[in-house]
Amino acid sequence: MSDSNLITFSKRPPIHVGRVQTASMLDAVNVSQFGKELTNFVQEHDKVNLLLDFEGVNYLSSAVLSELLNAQERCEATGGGLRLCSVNPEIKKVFEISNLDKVFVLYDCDVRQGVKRYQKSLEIERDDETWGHATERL
Amino acid sequence: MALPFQTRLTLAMSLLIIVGVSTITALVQWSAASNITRNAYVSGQNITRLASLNIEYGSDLPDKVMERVGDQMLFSGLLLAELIAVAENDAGKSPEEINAILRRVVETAQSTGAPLPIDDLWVTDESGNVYIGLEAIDFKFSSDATKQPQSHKFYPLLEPGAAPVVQSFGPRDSDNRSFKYVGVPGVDKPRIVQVGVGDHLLDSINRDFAVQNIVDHFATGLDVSSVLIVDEAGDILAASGKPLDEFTGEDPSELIDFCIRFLEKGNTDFDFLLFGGELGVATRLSSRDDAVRRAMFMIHQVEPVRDLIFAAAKQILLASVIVVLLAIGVIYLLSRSIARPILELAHGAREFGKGNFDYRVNVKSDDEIGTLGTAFNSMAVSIQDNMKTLELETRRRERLESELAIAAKMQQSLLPDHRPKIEGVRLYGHCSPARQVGGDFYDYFSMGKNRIGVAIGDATGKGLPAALLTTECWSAFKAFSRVSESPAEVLRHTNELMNKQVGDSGQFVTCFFMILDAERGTISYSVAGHNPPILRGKDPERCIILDSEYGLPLGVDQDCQFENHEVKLTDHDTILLYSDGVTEAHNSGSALYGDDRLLNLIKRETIQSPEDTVQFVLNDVEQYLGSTDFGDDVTVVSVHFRDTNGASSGP
Repeated sequence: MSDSNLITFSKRPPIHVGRVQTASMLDAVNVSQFGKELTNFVQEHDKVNLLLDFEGVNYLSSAVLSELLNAQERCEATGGGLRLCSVNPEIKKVFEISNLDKVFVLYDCDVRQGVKRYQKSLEIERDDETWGHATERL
Repeated sequence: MALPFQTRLTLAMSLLIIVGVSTITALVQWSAASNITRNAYVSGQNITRLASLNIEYGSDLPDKVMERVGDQMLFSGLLLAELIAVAENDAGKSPEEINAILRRVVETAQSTGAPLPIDDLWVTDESGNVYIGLEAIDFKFSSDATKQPQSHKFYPLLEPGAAPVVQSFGPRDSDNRSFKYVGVPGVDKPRIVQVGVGDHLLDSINRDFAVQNIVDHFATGLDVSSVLIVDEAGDILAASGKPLDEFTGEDPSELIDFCIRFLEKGNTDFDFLLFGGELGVATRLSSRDDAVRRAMFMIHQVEPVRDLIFAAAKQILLASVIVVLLAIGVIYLLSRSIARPILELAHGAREFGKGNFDYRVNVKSDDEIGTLGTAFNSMAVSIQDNMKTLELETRRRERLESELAIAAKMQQSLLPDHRPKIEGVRLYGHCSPARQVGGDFYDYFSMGKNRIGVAIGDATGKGLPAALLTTECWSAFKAFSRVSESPAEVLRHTNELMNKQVGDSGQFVTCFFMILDAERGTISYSVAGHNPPILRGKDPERCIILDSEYGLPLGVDQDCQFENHEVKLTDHDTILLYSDGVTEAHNSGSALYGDDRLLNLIKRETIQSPEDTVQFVLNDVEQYLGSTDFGDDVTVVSVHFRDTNGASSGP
């Protein structure tokens, strides 16, 4: 399991898309590899805006949440962020039970829409920032 | 027990050598035998040819000799005719005187010891009466062929101008003895002058030169068993040596038939027939007139050829045996040198098997076996190293395990050791860690007379890291829960402390904490991202999932706010607290146990006691998993409420 990647990353600037390649992530080996792959990816890049595509993932153990929290922290530390898309109801429930759906940004849409929405939100953030700077100057 | 390696090696190589040498021996034997046989055929053919040439020459010789004898007799007759004329007419000798002279010549000739060349000598008068001769005889030549079948042919000599008569051997009229006669006419008057030679001459010539004699000669030497001359009619003209009927198992007539067929064929000079196990060679005999075709059949003894073949075979066999013995000796020595390192390796392997890793094999050759030996020894070294490492590792592991056991014990001691006794409330909790130590915990404790605190928690992950987190969180929770009456406040304090501890690692602990007031018949609770407990009433239709919105897991957000919820209980309500080890249990098909299954299970269950409920849930999860192990810590706490003072039964 450890020699094949659980996530394949591709770049659609300014967003990195990580496609989760496994149908279920339940056992500890899987989860820790998932975490390692995420950590390695974030460490290798500057300002990571990462969109994780959960298309085709049916089951998640709640331990994955911990790895995702960790990844989100790291992404945000680079000045970027983490979004999740194509999250099916089963997986969404895992987030909801722990109330972590409030900590993560979950897109119900597929990856294409997800990228667009992420780009949009980045634009808004930038505008807000510009606005903020402008108001500060005033 | 299989044969030892060296023995097998020796046997296999010896077998190969024996097979090889045997094959070569057989080939050489066969070639020798066929060469010898072919030579025997050729020499048989040559000897037969030589014999036939001798016979051809010999059979002509008597006739040739007799021709010369005839010439000599003619000359003698002519001389005698002249001498008689001179003696009678010129010297006036009487017949008696002439006979005396002739006898004297004979005596003189006989005194030399040589045999007489002439046996008979007759002289007649005009009328054919014999009056001069070597012996006195009363004989008168007649022209009558019936009276004198032989002598009458000389009668015409009395006629004037008659030519000399030369006869072949034949029975003479006087006594039927075989004689050859030559007659000439007289010179002074008509008379018959006759000279004769007896058959003793013929016998002696025949004895010396005739076919039978030659045949006898050949039959006594040259490894020849029998010789015979057969003509085309199948008559045996001469035979010598072993009689044909003494050859066992053979019919002589077959041999005669073979000779007749051979003569009829006419296109071959030789033919072969195995007769009585011996080699018969037939060859053609030419004769002077070719009127009669004759074959010579010579039976050559095979015994000498057999002896020759046998002797050759014996020598070849002896040589083979010596070669094989030498080869086996060499093979034995060779196999020892091949087998020794392998035996040594085998010995080394046995020593290793016994656990004697100090043993080193002593194989010092430059070949693959040497490499094997070196590899063997270095393997021994690395096994020894590994053994040492393993030993250290095992010791370390044992130490860790014992430490882990202590940790587990400590963790176990954090779980409540007794159930608080409050009227109307019965509860039971069970936690089974997936490993020695786990990330789940539960707690219940008394909070005054009628109140009881019940909590369940789950740290992310499992094993030691989760256990450490749990222990830390648990200690904090225990401390805060004993001094505050608000579940939300307890969680908030715990969260604050947790955030300082876990930092940005992403680790968190989910928690549900409730305070049950038996007197008021209420529960007040707060949730930190934990699976919401199920509340089931006496009526299975009253089965709800407690509202758990708000409240992130502990350690996620330092500033997180937690809320207190309050729920009114009714008589016989059961609250089931569980960790995600229950709902996220997955079997080999990766399908999750799920909330719905748990909810339906609780609806079905006839509530007897908290212990039963907990066991019921655990059993169902176990049944669901089948042969799969619990992947995560599983914790279930059941709280059963009986309304004893009618707190909830009022309007």
